[in-house]
Amino acid sequence: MKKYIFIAIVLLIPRFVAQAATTPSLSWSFDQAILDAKGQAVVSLMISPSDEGINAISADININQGTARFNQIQDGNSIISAWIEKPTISNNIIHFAGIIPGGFAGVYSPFNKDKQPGLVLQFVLSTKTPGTVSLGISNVQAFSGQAQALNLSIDPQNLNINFTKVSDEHFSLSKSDTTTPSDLGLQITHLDKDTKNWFAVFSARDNESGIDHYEYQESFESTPDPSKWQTAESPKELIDQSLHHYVFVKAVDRNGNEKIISVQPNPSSNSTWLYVGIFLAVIILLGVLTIVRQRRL
Amino acid sequence: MTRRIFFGAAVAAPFSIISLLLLGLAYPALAINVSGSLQVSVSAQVGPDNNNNNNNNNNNNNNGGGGGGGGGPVNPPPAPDLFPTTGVVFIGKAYPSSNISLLQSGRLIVRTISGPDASFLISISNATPGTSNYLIVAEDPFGHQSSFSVPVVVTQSATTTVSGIFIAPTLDLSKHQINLGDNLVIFGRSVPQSDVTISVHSSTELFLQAKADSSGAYLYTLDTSVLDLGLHDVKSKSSDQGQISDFGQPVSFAVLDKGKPIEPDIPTCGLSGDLNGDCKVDLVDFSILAYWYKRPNPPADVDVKKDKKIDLADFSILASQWTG
Repeated sequence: MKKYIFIAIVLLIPRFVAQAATTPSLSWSFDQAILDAKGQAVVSLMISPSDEGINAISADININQGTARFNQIQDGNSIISAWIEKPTISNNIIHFAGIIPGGFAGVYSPFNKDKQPGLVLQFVLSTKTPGTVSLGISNVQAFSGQAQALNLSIDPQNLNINFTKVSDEHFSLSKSDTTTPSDLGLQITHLDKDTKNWFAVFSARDNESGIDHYEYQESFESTPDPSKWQTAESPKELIDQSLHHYVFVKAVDRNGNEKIISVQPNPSSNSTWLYVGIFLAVIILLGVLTIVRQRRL
Repeated sequence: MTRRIFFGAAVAAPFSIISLLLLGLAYPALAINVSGSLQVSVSAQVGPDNNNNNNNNNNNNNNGGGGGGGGGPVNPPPAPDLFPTTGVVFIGKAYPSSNISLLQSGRLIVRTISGPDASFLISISNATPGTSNYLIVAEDPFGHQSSFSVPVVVTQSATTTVSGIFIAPTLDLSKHQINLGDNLVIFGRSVPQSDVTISVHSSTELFLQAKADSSGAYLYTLDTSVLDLGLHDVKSKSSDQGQISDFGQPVSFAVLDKGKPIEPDIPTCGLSGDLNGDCKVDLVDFSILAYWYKRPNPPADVDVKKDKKIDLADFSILASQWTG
């Protein structure tokens, strides 16, 4: 009997080891050197390599214990390709949701044989009183394949940071980011097969500090008016559905670097018929006036 | 529906594509010498300018094929440049003469065609250093697609070569509803002469074997009398000279009772994430879904998962079908 139990254990161990190696997890850590030097914690949240190929994830990062506040977020070098909800700080909770087209199974690196974890985001945490601050992750949702729910483990479950030094100095994660956002794209399109309304769909990338927000304006002029920018999100329904305005979109990264893209008015839009109609009406009116004048003479 | 799409001028600007080169028959061994696993190597690259594209590609091939990294170019660079570019080279195999698209962060940056032996090579320069999310999407001659995600650490002032990419086979079915006992034809494309394993998810998973022909086409006729009634998923993976691909995206079909009327297949692109009907799943579809995210009463044709709400699960399906 013992012999069979032994064989069963021997057979099962590699199975569990293999499963452990492919189970996706969230891991996080902070930079001890910056904490010691600046009194602020730079925390990195990562997704571990796995065979599951996570393609959608959302979560909240909150402070379970201690008094601290989240200062800033950087997502420029994130493996998340498109944010459904950009990482934002609200009520001292960081919330995010995003997708990875094709799924994430690990980062390939020329310097490591094994696949590496991928960065989701970084943030800065500071406190005004020395002591331990405990961070937790809640409301985690993750999917792979075609909406197959994943049960992500979190390592460590709570991230404990011991602040021995307190600093009021503003520590910027994106101080060195002087490059403008890249890959700014803009399309004017219908959103589905049935609706006739035109929308502006836009996106950009910033590999350093990350995209902070987008601004939008429509204008008859070929250059944007600096006073008319309005914060917007994609998709943005066009104000001028006749497409006679220039459409401008500005991507702004978290360090204030900007890039602008524009789309020209569409000369063949449907309302061209309106102008043709007005022209014909004017011709007819002139003709009528001419006839009336001739009769009076 | 008449639709007009304007593309902004800055879309492709950051990437100056040095060149695209089909491996074809010239480098038959290059993509398969990695003995079953994907490899990443990095090499310093000097003298790349737009007038010397071919030299540049040859250098990439020599370095990437070795897979060891650090080997210098075999051909001396014609014009040394004090500012070497940051480049990435992708080498792999998909299906013969098929469209290969390279996407970064979900956006198309370059498209090429694979050689008759299914090999492809894509070389880009002026890439952004750091971790970049690349996705390679292969489309067979019938429009079926399969993809391979490659997040990679791109090294500044060097060429990072990713070799050994093996894209999963495409797969389609003769019918998506079938009566029990009728024959179901499972077909698709892979590397020529490769061994294709087809998985049919039923109460017990069936593994079927097919062989791709010289054009990469494979076909298996399944007698559905061995299956249970209800929905089933079928997916396939391929094995070629020691390399094994991942499984491709599953395709669903329903087995109905004998004699039960079958609804004719509605011709679609087979992409439930294609919300605007342009046979692509891209940022426009993402924007549509994002517009309805967590909003009440989403339109039925936007509800990808068909559960009357738009949540993260709908985005997961969209991400799995991404074509860029």
